[in-house]
Amino acid sequence: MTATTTTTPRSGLAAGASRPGAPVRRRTWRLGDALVPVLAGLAFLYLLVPIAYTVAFSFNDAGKTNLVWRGFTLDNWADPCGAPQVCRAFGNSLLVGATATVLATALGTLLAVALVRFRFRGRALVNLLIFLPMSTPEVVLGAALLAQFLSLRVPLGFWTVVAAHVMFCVSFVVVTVKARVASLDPALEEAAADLYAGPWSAFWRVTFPLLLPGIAAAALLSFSLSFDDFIVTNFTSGTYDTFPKFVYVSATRGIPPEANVIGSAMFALALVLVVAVQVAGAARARARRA
Amino acid sequence: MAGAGALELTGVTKRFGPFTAVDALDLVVPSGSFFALLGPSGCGKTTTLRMVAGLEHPTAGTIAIGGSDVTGTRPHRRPVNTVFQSYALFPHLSVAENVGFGLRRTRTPEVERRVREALELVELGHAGDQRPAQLSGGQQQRVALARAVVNRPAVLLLDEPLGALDLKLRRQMQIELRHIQTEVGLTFVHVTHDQEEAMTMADTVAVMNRGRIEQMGPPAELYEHPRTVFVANFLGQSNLAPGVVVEEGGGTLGVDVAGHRVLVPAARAVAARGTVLVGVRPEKVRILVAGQEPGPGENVLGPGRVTDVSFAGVSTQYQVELPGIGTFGVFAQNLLGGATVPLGAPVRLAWAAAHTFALDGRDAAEGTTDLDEAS
Amino acid sequence: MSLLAGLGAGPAGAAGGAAVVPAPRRPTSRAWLWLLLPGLVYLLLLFVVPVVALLATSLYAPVPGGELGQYAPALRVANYADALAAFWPQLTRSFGFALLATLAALLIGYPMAYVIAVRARGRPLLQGLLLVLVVAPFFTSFILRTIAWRQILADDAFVVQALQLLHLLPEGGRLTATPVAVVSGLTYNFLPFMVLPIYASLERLDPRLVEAGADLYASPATTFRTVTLPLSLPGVVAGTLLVFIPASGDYVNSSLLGNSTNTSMVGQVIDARFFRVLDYPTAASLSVVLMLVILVLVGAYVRRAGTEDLL
Repeated sequence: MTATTTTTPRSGLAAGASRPGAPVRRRTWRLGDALVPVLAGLAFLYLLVPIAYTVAFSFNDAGKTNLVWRGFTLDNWADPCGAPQVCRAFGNSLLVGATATVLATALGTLLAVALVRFRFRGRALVNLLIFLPMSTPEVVLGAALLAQFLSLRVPLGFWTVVAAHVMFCVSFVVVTVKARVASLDPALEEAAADLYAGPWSAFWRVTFPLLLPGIAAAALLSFSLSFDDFIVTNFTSGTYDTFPKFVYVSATRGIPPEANVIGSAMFALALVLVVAVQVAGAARARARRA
Repeated sequence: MAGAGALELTGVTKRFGPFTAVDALDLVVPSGSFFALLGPSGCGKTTTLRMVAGLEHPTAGTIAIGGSDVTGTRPHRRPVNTVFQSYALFPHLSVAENVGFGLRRTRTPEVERRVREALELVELGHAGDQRPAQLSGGQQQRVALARAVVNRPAVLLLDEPLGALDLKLRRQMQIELRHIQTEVGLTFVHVTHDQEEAMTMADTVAVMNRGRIEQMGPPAELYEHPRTVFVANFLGQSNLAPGVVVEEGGGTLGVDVAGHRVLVPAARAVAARGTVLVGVRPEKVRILVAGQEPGPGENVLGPGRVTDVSFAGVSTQYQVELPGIGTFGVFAQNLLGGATVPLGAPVRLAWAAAHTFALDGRDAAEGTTDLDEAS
Repeated sequence: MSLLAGLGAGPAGAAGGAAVVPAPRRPTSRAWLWLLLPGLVYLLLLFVVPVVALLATSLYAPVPGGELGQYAPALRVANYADALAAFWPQLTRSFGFALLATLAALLIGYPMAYVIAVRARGRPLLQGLLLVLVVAPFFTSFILRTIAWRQILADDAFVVQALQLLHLLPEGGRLTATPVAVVSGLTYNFLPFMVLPIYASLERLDPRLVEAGADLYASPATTFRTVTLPLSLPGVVAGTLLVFIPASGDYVNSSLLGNSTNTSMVGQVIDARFFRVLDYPTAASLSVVLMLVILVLVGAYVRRAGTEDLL
């Protein structure tokens, strides 16, 4: 009991609490508690305003240009391919995105596994080579590739666009998959080896299934990067049209509302897809707990 | 302030939705004591600790530290410090910066000297410049302790701080913690599920179960005079047998246990009439083989049969099945080396009547459920 | 969720380091070589060689008496001096705009990431939904969204007229075709790249460290400054890089939201030199300068932030 005098760290601290007999101070509303969510809410609003605008104008009964509101219609949604070239450009984008995603995911996954699981000379150099495309602005990548294609007289088109997209997607795939590989216990592969699996079947039966979520994430990331790319595409596509390129080029003349339909539909699709994955994941987690 | 406890909880209740984690808890922790909150996981002891630290807000009740009400005070304004179960050392700061963190916040003078002294107290004077990740588990634990002690809090809270250490290190740290507590003279409130840890370290132990304190007192008193089935079983082991009080007088109860007369000192009985549970600790019991007779003033049960013999170094543990009563455990010191009674032997059990205790018979149904998690 | 986690775990994942980092093993076979080879050859052919080709192009000289767009290999270092002299304003403006956009994205993106990772902790459905809202704009073409901004901020649209009515904007004042419009367009377009890595590093933050801060007399603001912010630094570094790098080379925002005189950025110049003027050496030398400046800035920044393991 004699220790009481030494126990208070600083008289002010203890006195900061309410005095005995004073009414108990309940937890009060604090500015900071509400400020951050309010700021974040405004930021989300900022993020979503142009999307709302795009969706709204997909229902515009536009004539030639989709600049002013002229009345509600469902015609654009009924026939998204009504405007010439919109659908062809969109189809091209899907094709480029899918092809580039498959190639970039395959190349990037192999690189990621090698980088995490093996120590070899020149590892730092390989890491640097993967980091560099990410730290190079698209306009430089585009210009470099165009200079290369021109000097080799490669005809510009689908394959030059795909080749360019694979190049800038690989780095993102490596980084995404690497995080997943690093979180895997290498003892799992050793356990597989212990249970008579050769290196090849250990990879396919143990490592690969565990990497799948990371690989899927990387594939989705590279598809979205490819699908939305304009600058590199603009340099490497020649007369080949992709959706962003079509929108950019037609911006001067006025974008047909069908483009808004496609943009809105893609947004809705992404939303539904991710929410579905989310809900399925939650249901699985519940089932596992039960 | 002399009379006031360092920490006083009055009617403190915490509900999470429909679940009551802490139920109208009243508690006074005297200044300068080493206090242990002991209980199985989920009994509400960690929630209680977090409410004292201000990290949870009680649904009802008040908490006072050093005589002032801190119920509505935010954690950073409370004169308490916590040694977290996971240590929660800041990974981006050096060991010395971790220890000096609280002093810098309160603008205490001479931070460097205090940090150095605190690190020397936990024998880590050399490790100030290292990062927490470079230290072993035991060293990290001591940094966490130094980080809390250095602030000289009115109450120092320890949330199962030794749980992550291996057995040998844990025993060593228990002694060191005790030593440090005496040296600095702070009030320690230690939460643990390890009954041996609570008993070796604390002056006062409160056994918690289902959000309530079952019994509180010095370790020896709790062990010798358990007042509930839960305490009797959670703190060490107990042999319990139901019986009916048949006579009372001269400070002694006579209890009929399956036809045997067992004597219980009235002062050691929670209930003095009706159905009771007669109890005795296994190390108090001795085995009578054929031909051996009990001494004067001893209770006797049996005959029964030895169903298990396990050698545990310092002692041998027997399980003896008593028909109509149940299975009793007996710890026999290996004074002569090894087990002396063979498996299957017919035996009787005897112990001094003064070591018998009696619990309320209605207590039997509940209380025994949490035993499995307790170990 | 996996997409979001993956995106978030991007560069920050590499920076923060996963909980279990197995020690890479010495190769027992040449397996690593076969894993590396396809990707390395690809990057060599489609990144290193083109960049070297770009470097060479930047030194080309016009063919004497040749047509427009005809150049021959040379070592004309003067191309750089000419390009810098002519386009110095665009170059500095690019970095200025990119810096402003990065700061704005950090100020807007950090609270978003904080709310998703910390305030919505333990509510996976809310967390998932908010993350979707951050990522989903990727799927509406960013050019469509930029054009939407242009139309929302247009001179004859509601916003400008309302601001003029409230005298917040002078009569005849405009929002489009200004540096402000370009910077906010850049901020807008690259905001998700800021939010995701910061989210990933805040998500990994042990909430008990924040409690320990409060326990050691640090107010919520102090705990944020001394514990939360330093521990989310890898995410902040990754996010600022992911915004700054593409923003400095962007020309979509400056051409759609800006005007030709005081908002044009170096990307626009490179694009125009390449496609309209057919002045390849100038375009190439500006590209090389842009790349070098970014590499130097990124290198210095990463070193200063102490997150070299980002690589």
